[in-house]
Amino acid sequence: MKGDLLLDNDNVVRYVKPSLIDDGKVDGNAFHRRDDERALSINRLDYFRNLSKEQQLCEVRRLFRLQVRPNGRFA
Amino acid sequence: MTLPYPVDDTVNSCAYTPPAIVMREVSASTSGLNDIISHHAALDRSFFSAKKDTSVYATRKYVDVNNPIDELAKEIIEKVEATRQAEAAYRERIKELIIDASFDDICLKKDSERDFWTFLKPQGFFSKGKLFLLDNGNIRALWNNETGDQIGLQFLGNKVIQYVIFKHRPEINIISRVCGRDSIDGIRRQIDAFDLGNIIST
Repeated sequence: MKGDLLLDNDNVVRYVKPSLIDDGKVDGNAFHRRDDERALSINRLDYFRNLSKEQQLCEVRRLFRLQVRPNGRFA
Repeated sequence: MTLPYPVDDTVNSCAYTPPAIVMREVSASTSGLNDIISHHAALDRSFFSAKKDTSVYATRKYVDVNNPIDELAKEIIEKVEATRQAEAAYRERIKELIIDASFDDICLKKDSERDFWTFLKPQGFFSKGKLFLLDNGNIRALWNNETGDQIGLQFLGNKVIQYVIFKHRPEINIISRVCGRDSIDGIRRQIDAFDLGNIIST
């Protein structure tokens, strides 16, 4: 949850919008905090225990509150 | 092709077989070929030391000589076509970025796009790099190669570029990194100083 510390071996993903992806390459600015943000928003895959990576990603996509566009990616 | 002097194909001919080779131009143009043959025939005879009435024979052996001008023209045509395709790909990508950004109420800054083309066009022949549109409306371009070299440029407008350059140094196996802001000309000089011009240009 917000404010919880991540463990060193935790796996996280962040939604990257299409304008920051070109030909499969993600721009590094996708992982920069915006000026009006205090922290970087990510999704912790290991929250979904006992699931494969694919299943964890499906859960993230299902619960993601923002609009996911077809050319966007979780990285 | 008819030679201006008698030809003997036998290897063991008692006549002297000059080492000179008749050069055949591999191109549509054979202009000047007769001059080449005449010139080399004359040179062969100048090294021949047989008796005055001994026949001189030339061989039918020849080598293919590529006309360097034709090769250069072909290379330039290929580069022009590749650059044309790269420019079309860039323009298409910018259109996509504008559409994508509209979903997030982000507008592409015209100054940034103008500076991008001002930087790129004088490169001459160039290849397609990656283009991104940042939240601030600026274009960011990225070029890299397989050895770990990378050039990242954010076009801030007013002819100012924010840059990050990574250059692999194989002799000490580290990646040298430099970043900052500079003018368009300044960035070109920095890229040349790092010998990375071939990442952007073909």
